[in-house]
Amino acid sequence: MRPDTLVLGVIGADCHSVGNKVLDVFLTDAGFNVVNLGVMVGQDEFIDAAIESDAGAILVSSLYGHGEMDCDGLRERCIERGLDNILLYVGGALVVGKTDFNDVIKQFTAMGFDRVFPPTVDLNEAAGLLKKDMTRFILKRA
Amino acid sequence: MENSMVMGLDIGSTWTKGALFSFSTDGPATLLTRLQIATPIENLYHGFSKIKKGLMCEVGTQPVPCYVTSSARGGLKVAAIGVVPDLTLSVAKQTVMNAGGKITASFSYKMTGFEKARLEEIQPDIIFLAGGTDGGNEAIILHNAQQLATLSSEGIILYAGNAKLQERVCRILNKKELRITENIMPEVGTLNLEPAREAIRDLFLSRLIDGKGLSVIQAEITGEVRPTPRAMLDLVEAMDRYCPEMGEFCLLDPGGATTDVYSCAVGTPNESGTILKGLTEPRIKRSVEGDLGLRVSAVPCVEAGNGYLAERMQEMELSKQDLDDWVTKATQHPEGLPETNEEKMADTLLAEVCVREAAGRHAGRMAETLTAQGKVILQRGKDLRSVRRVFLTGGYLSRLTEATLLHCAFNRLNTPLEEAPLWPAESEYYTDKDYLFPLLAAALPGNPKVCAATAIANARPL
Repeated sequence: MRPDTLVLGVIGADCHSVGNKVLDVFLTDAGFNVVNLGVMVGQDEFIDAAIESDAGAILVSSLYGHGEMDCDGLRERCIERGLDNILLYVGGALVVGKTDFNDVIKQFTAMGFDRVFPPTVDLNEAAGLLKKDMTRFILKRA
Repeated sequence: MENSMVMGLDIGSTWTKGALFSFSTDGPATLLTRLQIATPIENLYHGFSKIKKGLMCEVGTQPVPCYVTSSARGGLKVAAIGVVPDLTLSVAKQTVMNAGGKITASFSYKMTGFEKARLEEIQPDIIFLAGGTDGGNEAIILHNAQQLATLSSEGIILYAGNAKLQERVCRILNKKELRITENIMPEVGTLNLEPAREAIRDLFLSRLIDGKGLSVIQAEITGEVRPTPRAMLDLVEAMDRYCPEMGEFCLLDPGGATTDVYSCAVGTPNESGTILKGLTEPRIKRSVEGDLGLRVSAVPCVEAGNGYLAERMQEMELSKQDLDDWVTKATQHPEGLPETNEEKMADTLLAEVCVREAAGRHAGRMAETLTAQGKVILQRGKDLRSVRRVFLTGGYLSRLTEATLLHCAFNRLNTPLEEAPLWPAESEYYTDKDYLFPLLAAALPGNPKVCAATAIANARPL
């Protein structure tokens, strides 16, 4: 697995494309090799791309409130398809309504995501975390 | 400049055919003679030299350039290996078909011992090893290279995967005959087919042409013997390049063993609100269906067309027995033509299945999805609905005088259960009336512009 390669996309039947483009440009500038799958990406498409590109992380966005449904089972599917230790990040408007974000974090962590981000996030901070996580994960595996 | 003469010959698995053309400096060539005999399988040189002598009678003593293509030996047998089925394996298959090869086996992820045994059993001419983006997956590709290192097979291995592994693959496969070319998918979703296609073509020339008289033929012709399917793709490319006023087009070529479909069209979504999913396919695409054919592949063709055939047989009042009888006869005597009324009907039905199925598999698909933002259309593959011209070649279709068969085959593509294939909706059909396309494809190196113009000028609207 490569500590600089990540797969990016908006999951499910979600066509919000602006944030996806912003993330692509920002993370590329931050030195990552971004494999951007764009909008309306299925779980298997994320995994396919991660296998071919030997990515160290999958970054899932969801902005239309159905994140819970779309993301459930992604970790299990990764394991099933041989990506035992890949880093999974998720972020965006993950649920509908006024749920306490700590509950959202709990919920998505239980699904197997390594980090969960709210709708508003400092991208520099997120990129820093990602770099740290990816390096650590890959060293641990080696 | 005066007119000059050029010969184009094609040695097929059923027929050896040749034509003598008079090339003018500009505009289409004139056909002087066309000859055809059954291919003597045991020695291809005999067929070649008969046709060449026949054509030379028209010429006299002056030397005439003679270009030859061949699909004899049933084309190139290729095994394709990729990592993910929907990504590098799919691209690998596409590359092989584009280059004129026939896929005889395909494997994804880590090859197993059973799969290795399967390779040893089918003995492909080429093992096409792909997988990984550049700098991407290593483990699976290195594992597969290790498996191939101990394979007992004469096949040449062509590596077109992760470019960062080229040296390691070389080391692992140092006891094997190995060629290395650029990665067919350097990044996820970015295709790079041409270098690998070129490499397959070179392998055809350097290695696979030996035996059965092809090497003797080599000494008597201009340039080298080229694979027929690749030459056909060159002709399609030349038609596109030199006759741009024609616009986008497709070409259908059902033969005895395979049905080939070409599309020369961008095929990206026309309407806003349509999202393209999966790999972006090349503008000039060729697909080869090994189970659809009018002679050698008649049996699998009947299986493929199952539901459609049943419906059509009822309409035409053709019994299952009549169809089966023709299929047996066509498989055993591929050079024979249908004689009785029933045989003709059966032959027609097989042709319908070939074009219908092959076009349906070649074209993209669309599906409607409801999302929180409203209705969204997802498109996979190419949208060819706005293509206005469809050319028809091959022994059967070149003899057509009316388009009924095609209307029958394509009007029923939209069965309610399937997502509709995005095949040209209201196209005009043009038939290669003297069955010259393969011969023009053979003669192409002589003058691509004239050959392309001749192909179009020779096509008759139905």
